[in-house]
Formats: sequence, C-alpha cells, structure tokens
Amino acid sequence: MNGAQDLGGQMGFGPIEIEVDEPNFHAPWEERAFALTLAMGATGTWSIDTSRYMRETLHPVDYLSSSYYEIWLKGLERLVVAYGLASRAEIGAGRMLEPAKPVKNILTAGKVAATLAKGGPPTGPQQRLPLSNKATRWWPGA
Amino acid sequence: MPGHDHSHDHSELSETELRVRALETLLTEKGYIDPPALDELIETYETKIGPRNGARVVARAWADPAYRGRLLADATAAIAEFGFTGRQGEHMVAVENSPHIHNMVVCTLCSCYPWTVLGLPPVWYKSPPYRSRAVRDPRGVLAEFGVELPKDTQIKVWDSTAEVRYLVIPMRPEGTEGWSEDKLADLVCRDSMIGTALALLPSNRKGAA
Repeated sequence: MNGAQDLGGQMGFGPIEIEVDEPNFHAPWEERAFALTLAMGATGTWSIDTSRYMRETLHPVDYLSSSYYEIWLKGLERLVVAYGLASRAEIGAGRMLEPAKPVKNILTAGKVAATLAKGGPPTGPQQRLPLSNKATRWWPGA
Repeated sequence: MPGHDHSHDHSELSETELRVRALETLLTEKGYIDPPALDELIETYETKIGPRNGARVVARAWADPAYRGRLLADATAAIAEFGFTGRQGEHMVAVENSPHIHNMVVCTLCSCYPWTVLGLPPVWYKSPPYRSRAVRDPRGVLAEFGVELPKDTQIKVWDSTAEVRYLVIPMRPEGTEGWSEDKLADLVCRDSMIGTALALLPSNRKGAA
C-alpha cells in the first residue's frame, strides 16, 4: 500500500545528513528496541512482511516525525497487541497483567548465532494472519 | 533527522526510553524473550557482522576472476563461501560497476539492506532525504557524497525489497595490481558497496604513507 513510507521520488526532504564514522546505535534504548524486535521476530509469531506492515501503517504524521528505531518500537508494540501476546493495558503499564500466550520459539543467547545464520523468520501461511482493521488502527502514543 | 539530536548527558529518561524499558520488562515477564539474547544480538552486530564482510567479498571478486563469475551468477551462494549467510541476506544480488555503469542501492520503502555483508544500515540510508531522492536525482545525491561521475556514465539505481538485497562491486582502483585480498579489502569502504562512494585510492588506504 502507499503511504508515508513510500518515499521514492518525493520532494522536499532536504539534504542527506552524512555522519562520519557513524555508530550502529545512537543511544542505549536504540540497541534494546533493535534487539527486542529481532528477538520477538524469532518467536515465529509473525512474518517480516507483517512487521513491516505494522510500521508502515503507523499514522503518516507519526511515521514521518519518528526516528527509525522509534518506528520499530511503535511497530513492535502494535504487533504484540495485534497478535494477542500482550494487551494495550499491559503496554501502558509496562508489566504483566494477564497470563502469557504460548509462542513457538524463545530465542536464548546460545541460539542467536545459529538463528541469524539461518535467516529471517519464514513466511509460512500460518503466519499470514489477517489483521483486523481494529488492530492496524491502534497507534500507541501517536 | 527527527529524534536524532538527543543530548546523551541528561539523566532524566525520555518518553521513548521509558517505553522501551516498559516493553522489555513486559515481554520478559511474559517469558517471550530472554534478556541475555538481546545482549548477544547487539554484540553480534556491533562486533561480528559489518562492512568488513562485504569488503572481503569484493576484494576476492577483484582478485579472482572465477570467484567474480560465481558472485555475479549467484551472489547468495558465492557470499556463503565466506560463511556470511542468513538474516537480511537470504537473497543477494551483486551488481558490478564499470566505466559505463554505476550502480547505487536504496530502499525507498524502508531500510532493506544486506546485513550479512554490510551490517546495519547508517541513519542516512534509512532517512527520507536519501530514500526520496536516490531514485529521482541520483547524480545530485552522489554529489552530496562528493562523488562526481563522468557525464556519459549511466547510473542504475536498485530499489531493495524485503527479499532481494544488493551488493555493489565498485571498480578496482588503478595501481593495485598484484595486491593481496587483505590489502585490497582495505580499499573497499562501506559506501562503495552501497554505491554512494568509489573504492578508496591506494594513497588513501589506512596506514598508507
């Protein structure tokens, strides 16, 4: 679908900000947001396409005014709610209020290298769960 | 870059920092994640997977014509010869620069990038100015990176997808005949494999006199 993420050919975004010897992460929270997203991807609950979809269907204003890892964070919050792994109330509270739902896989430190070498989560049909409009219209903290 | 100019020395946590902490706490309590695995993921991309991988691939393609042939025919398999496989590099395509064609890679829709050979993408690659303009005005974009190509060099821009990731093979600089792969790899900077730079000249090699 088109939307704020569909930037090819758009005008008016100004000069490219090139940073010499740029680090991978610009703050510790970016490291955590990155790793949380990969670790939750490894649970096998959704496909890479779905995780992209949940970033790209952020409200356009929110998408364009968020930094890269802020987009990842918001996308992940929406994913866990859309797939019933946590409730909106739990996201707001920052702690568990309801029992966990079983997931296919839990990534432990010892499995990281092998998991990365094997590649991204598969896109099996069981993971192409149709997301309801309700799920994709929730914009946490937008 | 919105949200990119935080000062790092204030002790008060920002709203975003608090949200990330809250989410990590919640997902840990639920048992979906194992916090040491997060540390391992970060450590892996900080120290093990980065553009040095891609530089070794390019250097071998320069030094070994048979390898170059394999890389152009099936980049995923040729890159796997180094053991560089997996996430965000499952389907690789190598595109080779020549005096006639210069290749440049973008992901207009998000940030698709060949992690296995280049590591994580820089902020500019993921940001609207590059993503929007790379396909409309690649020559102007290259000028911002300090690259000026001959007028008759054609520029090909490759828009990455969630599946297919591109590795640019820059032109081998003159004056490098007989160099070892290790020495050649020092000339292969990250941006030369995205197509926003040329390979370094021998005089610009790290440690060159």
